[in-house]
Amino acid sequence: MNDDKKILIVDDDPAVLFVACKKVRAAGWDAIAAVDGLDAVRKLLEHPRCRRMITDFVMPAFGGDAWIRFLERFCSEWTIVVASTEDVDPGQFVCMPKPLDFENVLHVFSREIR
Amino acid sequence: MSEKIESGPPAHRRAKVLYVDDQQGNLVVFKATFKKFVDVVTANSGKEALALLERDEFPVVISDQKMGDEMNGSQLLAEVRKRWPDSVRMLLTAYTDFDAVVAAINDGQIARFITKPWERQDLLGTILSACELYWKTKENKNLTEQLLHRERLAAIGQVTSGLVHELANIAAVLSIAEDLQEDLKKGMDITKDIEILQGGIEKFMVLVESLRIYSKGGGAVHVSTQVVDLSEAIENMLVVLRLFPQVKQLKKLELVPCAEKVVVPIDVKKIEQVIVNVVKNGAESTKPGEGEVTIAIRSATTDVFVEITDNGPGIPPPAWKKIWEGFYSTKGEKGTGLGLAMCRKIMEAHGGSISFENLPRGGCTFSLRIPR
Repeated sequence: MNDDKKILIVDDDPAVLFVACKKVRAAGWDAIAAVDGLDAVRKLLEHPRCRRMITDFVMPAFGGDAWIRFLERFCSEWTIVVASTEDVDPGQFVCMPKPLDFENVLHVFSREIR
Repeated sequence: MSEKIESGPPAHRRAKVLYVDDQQGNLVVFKATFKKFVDVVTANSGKEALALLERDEFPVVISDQKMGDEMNGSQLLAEVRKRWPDSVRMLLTAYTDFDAVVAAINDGQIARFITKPWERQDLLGTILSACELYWKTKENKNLTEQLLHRERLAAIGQVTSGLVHELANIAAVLSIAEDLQEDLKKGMDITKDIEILQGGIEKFMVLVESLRIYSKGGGAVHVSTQVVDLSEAIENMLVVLRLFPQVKQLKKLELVPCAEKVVVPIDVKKIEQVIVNVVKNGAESTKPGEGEVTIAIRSATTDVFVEITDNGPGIPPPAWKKIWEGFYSTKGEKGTGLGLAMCRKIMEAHGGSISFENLPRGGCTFSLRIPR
């Protein structure tokens, strides 16, 4: 069981990122913001116990399919929600349409994980 | 859709002739001769013929040249050509009224002329092939229209994915409003929330505005100009520009003002939209952390030029012409392909223009021409 209350949130649109962080914090979680995949890698190293992530799919720096494949390889034990407007292959993670329904997202995170 | 198999041509594609002659006897003979093979409708004057044409579709119109009415055959057919250009027109002359026939052919008013007395088999063959020509032309036109429609749908499909992305982001931003009341009750500071909300609304308005231009009926951009100091106006725009993530990752963004003070009549908001668009495009094309975008103002006698130069890879040749059209994007799912098309409309509404040039050392310069 993971008792860390942190959720890493990745989105290249600063306004979307702000809103997501706010919603997550309002529900009692700690939000860590990252502006793209590269920034997210930096942040996940800074927070080694964090095991939850909400990430955008289309991002200018390190997004898209490569980003998902990276997460599969290096963050396979994470619970990750991939938010996208398009049909994407989220691999082993949860894919949710944008705009995110945060109740649904947080429900995913509230489940017990390994 | 299932297609009916029919032995003959479908009912709506039947051979149909409008025959115009002022001699009642001729009308009767013509009808009696051909009604077994084709639908025959007759009229005894040009006026009556036009009235019939307004109500019904006639693949073939045959008119006698000499008619007592004020309108003769070639005059009638000239009118038919103007209003129903697809109908095949034939002129019938009792004697070799050569001048009239030659004039009619030269004007392109008739496809064929027939001399009286006509030979039944010949004329029937002529009428049937004319009908076939009519329906083939019609079918061709329909196919062309379908093709155009399909192309347009494909273009809309391309833009939709970009559009959905954009709208979803805006919806995500606007959803911040849901909690504001609760936050207020708790006495929380919501200044930042409102800022975010306003940003979302603004983005939405810009999207609507740019889409409106490409929807039916739209087309013109309205500008309300006021005379401003251009360097000062652009200096103000830089503040907004620096908020964009693409622009933030630039190594350098600078304005090179003109030595003299430049005042021009512009719609500041619209020109800002153009400059923001071009600078963002330029910034997006550069490598993060290495990009440089320069905005230079150059003054000429009748115009002022704003030149925006980046050090990205430039515009690839296949995009050269297309970037000014709507629904074309080099940014894949990231772009709606409306940005530069919009910029062009705005510049044209100012009586100016927008152009670009790839630079030999890499990168490109977009040049906005604004008339003084």
